[in-house]
Amino acid sequence: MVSTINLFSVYVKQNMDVTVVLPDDLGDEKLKCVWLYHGGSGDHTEWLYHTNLVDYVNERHFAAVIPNVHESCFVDMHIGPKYGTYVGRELPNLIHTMFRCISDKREDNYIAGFSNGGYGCLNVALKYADRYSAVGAFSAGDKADAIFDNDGSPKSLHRINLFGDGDLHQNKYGLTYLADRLIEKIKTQGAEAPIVYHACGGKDPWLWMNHILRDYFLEHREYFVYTYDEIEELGHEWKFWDIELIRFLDKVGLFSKEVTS
Amino acid sequence: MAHLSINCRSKVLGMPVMLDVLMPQRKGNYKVLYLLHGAGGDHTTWLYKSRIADYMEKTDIAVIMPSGNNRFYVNNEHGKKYFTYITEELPKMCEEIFNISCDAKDRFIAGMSMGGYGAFYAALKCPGMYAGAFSYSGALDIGAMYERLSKKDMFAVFGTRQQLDEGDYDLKKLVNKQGANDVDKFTEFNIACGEEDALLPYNREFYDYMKCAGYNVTYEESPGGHDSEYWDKQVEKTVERIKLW
Repeated sequence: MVSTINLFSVYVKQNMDVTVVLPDDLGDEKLKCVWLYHGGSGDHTEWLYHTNLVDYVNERHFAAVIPNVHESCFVDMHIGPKYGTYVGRELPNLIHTMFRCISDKREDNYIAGFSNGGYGCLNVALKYADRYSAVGAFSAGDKADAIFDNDGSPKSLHRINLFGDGDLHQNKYGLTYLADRLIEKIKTQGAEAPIVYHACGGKDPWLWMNHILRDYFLEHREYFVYTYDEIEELGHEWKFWDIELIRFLDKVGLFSKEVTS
Repeated sequence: MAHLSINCRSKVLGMPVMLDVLMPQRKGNYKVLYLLHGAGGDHTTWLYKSRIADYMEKTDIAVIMPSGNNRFYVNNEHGKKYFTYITEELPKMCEEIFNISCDAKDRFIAGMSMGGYGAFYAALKCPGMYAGAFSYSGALDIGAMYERLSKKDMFAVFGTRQQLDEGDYDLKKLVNKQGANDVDKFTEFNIACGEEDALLPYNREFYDYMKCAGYNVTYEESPGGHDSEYWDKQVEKTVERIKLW
């Protein structure tokens, strides 16, 4: 079953689009839920168009929720609406209230995304670690490591609208900053870290950024169950993200029925 | 308020179906109104031709709008099992998936024209299933409709005239001949028809028939014709009533 949903967000202050995919046969138990984040210039439809997601949902028996966050990179924008709070907290509350067949337990909720969505899913999973137990970040770099030329170009202006003009290693827009904060909470408040599955194609133009992020997580293996996967021949492309989605689904135990039966 | 445009498989109909759902963004366990369209319409009709989304917006009522495919919401003689879809598969699926009430006292069904017939057919064939059934300009005398409409179309749905008469398609056949019992009276039937509507005599007649049989039934005639302006007003009234149910 594929539902295209239009609902109102109090945080973004407008109607928002979301796709929800459910298996045809619901079964008796609540469904585990995979939140899928789109890339830059993407929306709530592209995961459907470019992968066999609907087949995976039926074969592996889970719910998929695909939000559309426009060009916000899944954050509460520096100048702009609070897309981060919408996608990380408000939308799950709305979806879990609406769908009694989808589990709202932390252990049953996972986020995966690619490119901007790869950054986005790590950002959200680190910020809302109490809500998500695993994250699959594909072709994901920390925006803090991106080269920022504050030169008045459209690209730099967009960056400022999203994140401001500061060093993101020092604020909530930086993934290592968020990870460090979470580590503090783990040490002092017994917080739990999500399992981190991170992947990048060998031909990806931003491979270097993925390596920086990888190195951070490897250094902090004490706190994060971390796996890194690289496929040499592939780049920043759907073929890669389709493969990695399947690997991530296997990782969180959402196996294809042929395997389990 | 959330609007869901749904594509899913119906095992009963053996094909994919479209479904439009209006869901409040409140606490859940909503009352449910199954809203049926008329001939020529589909899952979009009520959305395009009325302000239903506006009416239900600040309520705790979810509205479910299936497609009836011109098949009168019955199990067709030469076609698919639409009655089973509407009264068994659809509610079961919606109650499994959505945070809506599974209680009959929170379940309602309404429709205009062919949908009015469909709503009453469902409610009469399933006593105790709906707290309220609403017919707007309903095609309540199916025998008369059989004669008025295209022979080919009617044959596909109801078979021959003899098959229609021998079956339970005539709503009068579904009315309890021993008089309405407690389960029959659980449902409040509401018949509304426009004064300029050609179906007015059939609506008056069926109201009298149900009333004599002791059913819980109301009747309203008001200015209006067989058109979306009239149906829009009726569905607004229905939502107001369900709010207070």
